[in-house]
Amino acid sequence: MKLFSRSSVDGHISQEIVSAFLDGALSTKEMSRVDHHMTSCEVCVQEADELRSVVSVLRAMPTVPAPRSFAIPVPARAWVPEPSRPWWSPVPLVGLRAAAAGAAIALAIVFAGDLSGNLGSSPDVPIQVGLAEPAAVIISGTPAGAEKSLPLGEDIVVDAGTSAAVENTADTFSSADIQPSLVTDDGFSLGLWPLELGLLILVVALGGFNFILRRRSSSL
Amino acid sequence: MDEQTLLQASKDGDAEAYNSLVLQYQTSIYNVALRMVGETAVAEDIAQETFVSAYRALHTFAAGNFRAWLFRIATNACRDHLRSAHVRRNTSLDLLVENPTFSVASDEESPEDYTVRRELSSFIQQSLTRLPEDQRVVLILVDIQAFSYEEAAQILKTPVGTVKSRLSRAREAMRATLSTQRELLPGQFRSG
Repeated sequence: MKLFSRSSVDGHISQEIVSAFLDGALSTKEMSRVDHHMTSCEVCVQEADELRSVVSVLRAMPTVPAPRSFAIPVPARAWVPEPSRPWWSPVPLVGLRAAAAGAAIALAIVFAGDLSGNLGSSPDVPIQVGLAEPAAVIISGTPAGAEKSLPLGEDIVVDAGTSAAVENTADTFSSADIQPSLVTDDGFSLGLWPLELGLLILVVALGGFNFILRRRSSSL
Repeated sequence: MDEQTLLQASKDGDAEAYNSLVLQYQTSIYNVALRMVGETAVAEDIAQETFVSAYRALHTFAAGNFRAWLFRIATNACRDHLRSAHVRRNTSLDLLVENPTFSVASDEESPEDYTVRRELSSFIQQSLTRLPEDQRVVLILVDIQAFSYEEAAQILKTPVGTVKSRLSRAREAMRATLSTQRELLPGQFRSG
């Protein structure tokens, strides 16, 4: 701290130094320099006296008794709240993880059952695929590839086991037109795909959400 | 029991131990609040809020200067109050004159001296209220509550140099204000 700051007038000690001097808050070297300056400077002596008077008046301010006790009620344990916890803190995350795991297990079970043919419709049942137009595609065992370039408005018969044909006609009719009981002879039941797709989306969503929240929780 | 023992017991849920700390600090906390806001009812609320908040946050106080920590809560509560939109900006300057922010007359004090002291107290309180908030809090902590520069810096979380400069400006402002009311000052202060 500069003793003779630019704000001081005519080389007098700055107010900040005088203020600290009154509190003895200067270094020994600064104190001796101020003392030395005070012996020959009436202005600074007066400045120090006036500030000392201000401090004395303030220190003489009476202490006001507390109007009442501020003690807390006893027992107080009951009303002390638990530390606030963000909603993404570990406890909700455990539930989220469990939900994601449950969805993943359900997806695995449905998919396995689907592949083994234990779930869904019997493969013997003919499958009818409806089109947006009056035309319908009936899958009944026609060789693969024979169904390419299906004209709208015609009825087409397709054998079970011609999933490739079904795929190849994807540009001709939409999957939304497929009836829910579509089953091919390799046991793959298209009737369960909405459930599988839904479970897959649920697993991905829950997993992603869980990942985001964990990152957010660990960054706190 | 010493403060550390009381503090540890308080952290362990001993409300009686915490109340011992409350009794130890309640007058100074109330006075800081009173000088900061200038209203007895508000100061009372702030003091109560300070002790309740401190009790709730005790688990976050690891170690160090409990007094500084407690006064930081109090000064923050005062600042929150002063900054709140509900505070009437020109509040209470007239009412402060009537506020009992001074002690009652002692047996040795004449009625005239008591009146002058009461007026001086009210005048100083008004002058404090007009100071900028950052200067006011330093002046109250150092000059009225007799905290060291270092402890005031700890309470306010500011460097000691900042405390020094704010204190200097606050004292200068108070000197300018008090010089207009020299007749209220006790005899030993009028010569300055």
